Amino acid sequence: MLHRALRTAALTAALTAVVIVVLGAALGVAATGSDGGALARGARGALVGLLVAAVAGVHLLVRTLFARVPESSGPELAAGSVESEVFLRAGTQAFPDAVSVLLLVALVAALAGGDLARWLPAAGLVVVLLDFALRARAHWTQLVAG
Amino acid sequence: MDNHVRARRAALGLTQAQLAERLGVSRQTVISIERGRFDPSLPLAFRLSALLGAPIEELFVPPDDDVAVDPT
Repeated sequence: MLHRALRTAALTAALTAVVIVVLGAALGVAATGSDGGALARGARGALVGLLVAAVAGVHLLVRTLFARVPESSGPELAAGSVESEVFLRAGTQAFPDAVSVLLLVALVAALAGGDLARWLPAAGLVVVLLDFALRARAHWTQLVAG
Repeated sequence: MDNHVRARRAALGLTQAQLAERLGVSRQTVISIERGRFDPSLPLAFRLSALLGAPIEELFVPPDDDVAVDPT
C-alpha cells in the first residue's frame, strides 16, 4: 500500500537523520575557530545536521512518490495505476513553472541581495510545491473523484 | 473511454479488489477504469484482456472520432 511505501521511506529518513545529526554535532564540537564552547558548537552542528537531514528526507519522500526508489512498492505506485498517473501528469505540468520560478528567484536574489536573497528561495519552493499540489488535485478530480 | 470491464468482471465473479490485486494496481485504478474516467496503459490493457478473457477491442469502446479511418 502507499502508506507502507511512505512508512518505509520515513523509517529510512529517520535513521539517516539520526546519523547526520550525530555527525553534525561531532563535527561541530571538533570545529575550531568558531564562537562559543564545545557545547554551543556541537548544538550548532547538530542543528545544521538536522536541516540537512530534513532536506534528505524530503528528497527521499518525493522520489518515493514518483517511484524512483526501491521503497516505492505497492499497487498505488505501480506503473499503470491511476495514482502514478496523477503524480506524473502533475509533475510534468509543474516542471516548466518550476524552471521559471527558479530563474526568477535566481535573478531577483542576484540583483536584490540582503534579506530578500535569503528568503526568496524558500518562497520559490513554496510556490513550486503549491503549483504541484494544485495540479495533482485537479488531475485526481478528473481521473478519480469527479 | 467507455468499456465493458465492469460487466466482464462481474460475469467472472470477481470483486474490484480481486481484479486490482491480480492486475497489480490499486482498487481505485480499477474503479476509475470501469467508470471510464481513466484509460489504462497498453500493458495494463493487455493484462486486463488476459485476465477477463476478452480481446481489448471488445473491452474498450473508443470515441467515434477515434474510429479507424478507411485506408481506401
